[in-house]
Amino acid sequence: MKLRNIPHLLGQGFVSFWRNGVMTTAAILVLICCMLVLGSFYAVVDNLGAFIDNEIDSLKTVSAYVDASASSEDVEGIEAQLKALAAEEGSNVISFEHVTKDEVLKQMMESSDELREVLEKYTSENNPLPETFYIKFESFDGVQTLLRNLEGIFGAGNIKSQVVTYESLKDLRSTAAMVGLWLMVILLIVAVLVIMNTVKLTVYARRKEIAIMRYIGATSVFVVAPFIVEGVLIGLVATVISCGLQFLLYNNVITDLINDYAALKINLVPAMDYVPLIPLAFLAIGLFAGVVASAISVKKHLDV
Amino acid sequence: MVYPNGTAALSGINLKIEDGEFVFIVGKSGAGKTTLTKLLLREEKVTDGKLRVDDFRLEKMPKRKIPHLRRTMGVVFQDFRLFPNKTVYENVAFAMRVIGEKSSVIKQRVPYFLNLVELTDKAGSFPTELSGGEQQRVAFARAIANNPKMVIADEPTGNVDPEMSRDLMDLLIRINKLGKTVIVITHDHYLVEQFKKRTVTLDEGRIVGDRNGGVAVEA
Repeated sequence: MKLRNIPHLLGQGFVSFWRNGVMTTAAILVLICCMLVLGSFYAVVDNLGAFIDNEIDSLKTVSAYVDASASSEDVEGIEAQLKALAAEEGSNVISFEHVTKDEVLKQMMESSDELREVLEKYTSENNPLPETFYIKFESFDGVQTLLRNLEGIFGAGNIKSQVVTYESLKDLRSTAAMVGLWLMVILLIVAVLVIMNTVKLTVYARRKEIAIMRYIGATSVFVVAPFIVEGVLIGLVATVISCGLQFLLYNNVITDLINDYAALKINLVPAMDYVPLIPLAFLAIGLFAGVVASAISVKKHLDV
Repeated sequence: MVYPNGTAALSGINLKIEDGEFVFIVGKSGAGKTTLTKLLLREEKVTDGKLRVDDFRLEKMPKRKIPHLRRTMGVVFQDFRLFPNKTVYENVAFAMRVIGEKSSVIKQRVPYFLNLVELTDKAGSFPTELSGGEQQRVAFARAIANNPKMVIADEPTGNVDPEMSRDLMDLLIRINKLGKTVIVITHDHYLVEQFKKRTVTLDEGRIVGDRNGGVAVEA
């Protein structure tokens, strides 16, 4: 192929893109649909993961109860030991908070109406609730060592952690990630196959045109190149439209659906957090499907 | 030439067409005319024997050389085979693009060829907007645009009125006078009789007559 043909071949790609309007539009629409299904599914799975991560973060607090028989000096001693523990390197303690018996009672009464009814009869004099320390820690990795240290300070049985809940959530997180990943892979394969089939159809509709080019003496490159340019254009246009629609869909429909139907309040990942991942993924799918499908499909009709 | 299903489309053919000759290939439907065209274009490959077009030995020519073979000939197909989504101008220009002709040359020569087939005013039209005869003239312009060594016309008068038919044949004769080999495939005996050129008659895949301007030379 001569270099002077390159501008012509590029131009032919653009011209064909416009002149084969119906098939081009069909290919773009199929691409957009597939991209939106993929993008929306990814966003939902990612939000579920982010929700579980947030829940796990909220579990990183140990409640430690001071024995009812402890004096105020004992409490000061405990606080000093906690300060020393927090200052130790690798102790896993981020901070701790001391809550008096009265504050514990007040917090519990405020937490629900049912508890308020039960606890209303108690005052500072007959408050049965223990003096409490809330210890925030960094990671569940070293939590068992921390729990042993706290048992040494508060005594066995006075420590309440969320390790069991954490283990359950961790399992749920990895199961959700695995299921999400496989579904994404299957969805991606289906989407690429659907897109490739559509592009194949658009090429099939023009097989006579390809045959004419070959009869006139066009080389394979000369025939395939405009189709690839067309494939690139289809991929680009579909990507741009899909990105815009995905943004609107996420900020409106998906957000509303999750907020309306999810049992728990979920803080959604901001749409801009998916930039540039989703646009790049759309572009990759669009270009791959447009270019590879065009090239493969045209090649099938070259043999005349 | 035997098709994969075992049908022998052409057999025992011994035909030589010299450079610059004008030859009619005639025969009934199924005589092998189309197969002969396909062989010349290397759309089909000879299953036995030898076939040479210009310097190309078609029986052993690799596929990658097919475009180069086809550029040596201009073909006017019976069904025209024009690009439906290209204008008349673009259809003719495309043949020149294929061989890598400069844009300046294309801009200069396409109007010349369109003028030659009297379609200057239709340059911007699409084939679907043209009559059968006009489409055929576009096919003619495209076939000769690259100054081919050989022009093959498959039933060139099948879709045009007698006057246009005469004009197209005159055009082919003019092309032939320029030293080009012209092969006209037709079943129109009136046309053959009118022009008194070498006529090869096919029947059931065999040559049953070869007359040179009305004189039988070989059968």
